[in-house]
Amino acid sequence: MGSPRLSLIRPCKQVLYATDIIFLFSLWAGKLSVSFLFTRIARESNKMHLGQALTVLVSIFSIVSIFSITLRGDISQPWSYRDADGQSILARWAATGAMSIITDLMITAFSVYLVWSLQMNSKPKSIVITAFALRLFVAPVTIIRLVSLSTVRADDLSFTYTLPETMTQLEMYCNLVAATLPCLRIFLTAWNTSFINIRLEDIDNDAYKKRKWPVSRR
Amino acid sequence: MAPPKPTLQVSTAITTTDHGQIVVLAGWLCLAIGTSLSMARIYIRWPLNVLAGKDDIAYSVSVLFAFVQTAVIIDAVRRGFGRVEPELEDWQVVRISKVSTISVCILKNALQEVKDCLVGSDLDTTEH
Repeated sequence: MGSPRLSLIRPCKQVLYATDIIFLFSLWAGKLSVSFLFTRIARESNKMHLGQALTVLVSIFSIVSIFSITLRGDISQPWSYRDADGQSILARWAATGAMSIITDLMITAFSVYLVWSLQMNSKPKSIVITAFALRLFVAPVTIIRLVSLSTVRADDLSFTYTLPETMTQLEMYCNLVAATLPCLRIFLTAWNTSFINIRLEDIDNDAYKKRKWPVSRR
Repeated sequence: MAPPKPTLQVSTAITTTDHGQIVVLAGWLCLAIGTSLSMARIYIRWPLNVLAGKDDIAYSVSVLFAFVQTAVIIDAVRRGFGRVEPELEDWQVVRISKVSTISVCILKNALQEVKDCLVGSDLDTTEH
């Protein structure tokens, strides 16, 4: 029987390397989904252009983030996780986390800008902003994940990577929740203002049919 | 004869040398949440051919990657991920290796292509 300790290290690193990249694809696709939603609900041309700019920025962040995690250390063995590489990898993840948090802040700020000039009561405005601002709960998870990554030891990656991996799962699905919340009916109906041709029919046909008040048609 | 009384026992799935089940627990809970969210989104955007937009396509891609990531990591735990390395047996080492081989081969080839594009492939400059 050979030495399992030595022989496991490489396959374990490979699996974690692959799952980290899949995680990044999921994370940034979720954020792109929200920026696409902005371009969909913005009807004024300047707001629409700003939404498109946000989409471009999120795309750039996603490419930079994926390449910074993918291309690391020895190109023939990018999954390698030596103690000497630990700080470098942590710095790369910190940069990715920072880009993620900046994107979340921009999405929240954009939602405020989107409804600020609308002539409607403050209640529906606050509902819409809340739907997008709930995304900020992803930021603490990102930070906790980064802190847990600093405890990883290269000589026992299988055991010490369990907490960061759990936080990875949590961050990934929190991001999905944050991408879905603005689409829920309670938040969507707040957009039904008949102003600047924002039509509930366009984004939630079922809810539109159930409403009693008339909705402006183009 | 009276049946024996059921007794509650503390689970021993998570030990001081094996934390893999924490990842599995989180993974299954997250999968349940992800499935519920997707169903809610489909319900809101039904009929999809009329109401679905680019944001829904990006969301679907995100959900798909999330499900694949969770499935791979749960499978990796079944094959030994999460244990202190000296506890692992040889058969677990071999099985976890099989899981990673395909994905890593694809990634490695892609990285080599990127490297060639950025640095340039090695040219044979020797004179014949």
